[in-house]
Amino acid sequence: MPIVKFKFDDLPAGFSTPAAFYAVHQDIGTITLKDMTCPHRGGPLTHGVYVGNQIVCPWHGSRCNRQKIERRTQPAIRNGDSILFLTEQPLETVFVTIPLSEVNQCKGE
Amino acid sequence: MSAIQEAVHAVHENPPALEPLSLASIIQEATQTSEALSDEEVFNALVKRLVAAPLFADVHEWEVKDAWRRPVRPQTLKYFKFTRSTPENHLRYAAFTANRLLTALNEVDFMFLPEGRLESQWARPSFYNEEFRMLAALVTPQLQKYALSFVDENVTVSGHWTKKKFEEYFQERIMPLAEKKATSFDLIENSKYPVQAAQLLMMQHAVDFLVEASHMARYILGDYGKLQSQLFRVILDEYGYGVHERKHSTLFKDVLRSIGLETNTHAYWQFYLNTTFLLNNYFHRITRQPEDFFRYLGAITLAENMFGPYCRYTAAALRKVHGDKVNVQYYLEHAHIDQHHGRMTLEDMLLPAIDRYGDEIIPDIVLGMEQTLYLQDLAEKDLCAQVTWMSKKDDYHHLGMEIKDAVLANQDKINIMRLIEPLSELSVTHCHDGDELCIVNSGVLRFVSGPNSFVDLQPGQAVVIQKSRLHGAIVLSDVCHYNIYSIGDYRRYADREV
Repeated sequence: MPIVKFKFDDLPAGFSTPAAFYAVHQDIGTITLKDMTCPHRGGPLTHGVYVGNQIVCPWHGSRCNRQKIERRTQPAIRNGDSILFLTEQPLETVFVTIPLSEVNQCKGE
Repeated sequence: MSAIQEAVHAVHENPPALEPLSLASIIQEATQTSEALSDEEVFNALVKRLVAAPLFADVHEWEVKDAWRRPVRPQTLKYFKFTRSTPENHLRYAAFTANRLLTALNEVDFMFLPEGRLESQWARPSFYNEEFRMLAALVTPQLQKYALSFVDENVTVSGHWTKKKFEEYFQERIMPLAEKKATSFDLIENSKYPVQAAQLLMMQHAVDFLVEASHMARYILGDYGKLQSQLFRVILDEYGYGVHERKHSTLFKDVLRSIGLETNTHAYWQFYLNTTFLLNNYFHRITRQPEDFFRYLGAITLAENMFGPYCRYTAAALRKVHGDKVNVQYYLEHAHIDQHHGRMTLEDMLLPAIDRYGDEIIPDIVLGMEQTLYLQDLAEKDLCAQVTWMSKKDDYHHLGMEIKDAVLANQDKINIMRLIEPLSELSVTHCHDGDELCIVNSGVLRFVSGPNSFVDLQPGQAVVIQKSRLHGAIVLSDVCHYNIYSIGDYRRYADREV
């Protein structure tokens, strides 16, 4: 099991491994890692849009329950300036921002 | 001995007893007010009363002989406020004092008896009495917040953990760290003064090893099934199965004795570093608060798995510094037995606890491991800085002489403490929040930067005192006049760095 490491000051908004997409959240020093991989075909819900209580996957438009996805937290550790995430596979791509995560409505809805 | 020296020594030997007071009277007397008090005012009043206990008063020897004496420089408390530590300021003097006090308060229910005669130990009544216990109970939670809450804020664990993920984490994160040699060993072995550096290391060990497993023993109490019995098996080893000669603290005393160090608990109270107290206080907290039991389970499993390799390195360093004369049996015993304790805590306690109580306890277990690692890292850095400070004692003396004139030329803008002290007056070890310059005007002052590490300052001589570094002083002449200049950062006056 790889341990993906970041410095606290360089913490990205999210990242991907070959088979998963993750979003990083920070709340008063506690770091949370959410598995944002679409259950349908493994798409990046990190880059989806929120519609009400759902997240729409950018790949096939699948809709996932937001609470259900947000409960899929992965083991995360903050030790001072070091952040460690336990993932199934090694780090592939870092997302400096997750541009669509704050959108509340789909276009046309 | 002059009359003034006799008076100073008399106060050290036998500080005046305090009249017993109720809690309300203590607060009333301390604040002289009938108005509603804030929590901070109550806390300050309680601390003021607490540190007036004779056991906290200054001493006149570097080694603390008395089993219940815990000098904390109570006279300085009026000059600073306790506030919450942060990663950036956890070495400041207020934090150091909070940690010193906390270790004393955390041991309020530990049994200590002197190696010598009982009746000569005057401090016992002030350590074992109802008011002291009451004040300790009231003050400890807030002091813990000041000293330790930054650890909770800077080390956190989240997410959904499973037993499988935990086992992988343990193998990939923790086990490689266990075999890693600490930087401080190389620093000690290659120090300009390796004997003193190694003594400093032994003293940091002494804070915990001489009361070995006393934290752990708190969890003997209660009723929690097989886990309790497994913990007791570890305790049995620590206490040598009731055979005093095999008790681990007895073995540690043999190490100390073999290199000429004192063996009574807290003899080297004055040379414990801030982070040594801090780490010790963390283990006190997680064993005094049963809600932290699973955190403790993580912390002790980490400690038992890391301590064996650490002891191998310690034994090697001690042999390199002291040669064959040092008795390293304590460390060899742990290098061996902690292979078992590492396995026992992991396989017989921690993993069965997860099976029994569920994955929900894993974040607490990991938190205990990570917070211990965090504190060990702070302690390692503090130790390295102190070893370096001791190695460079002559450099700081030379630097003091170099910048003395520039500092004196600027003295109108600098806070100056002017001191006149008699022969043998000892400044209990402490640290400063910025660099200071000490200049002796008349007499002779021994400036102490660590155990058996000092420079003797003659009239006109000076030394720079590095920010956050533990130091003390003792007067060697009939009287000594010296000034302490708060220069903030010595580089303002020097064109070089030490």
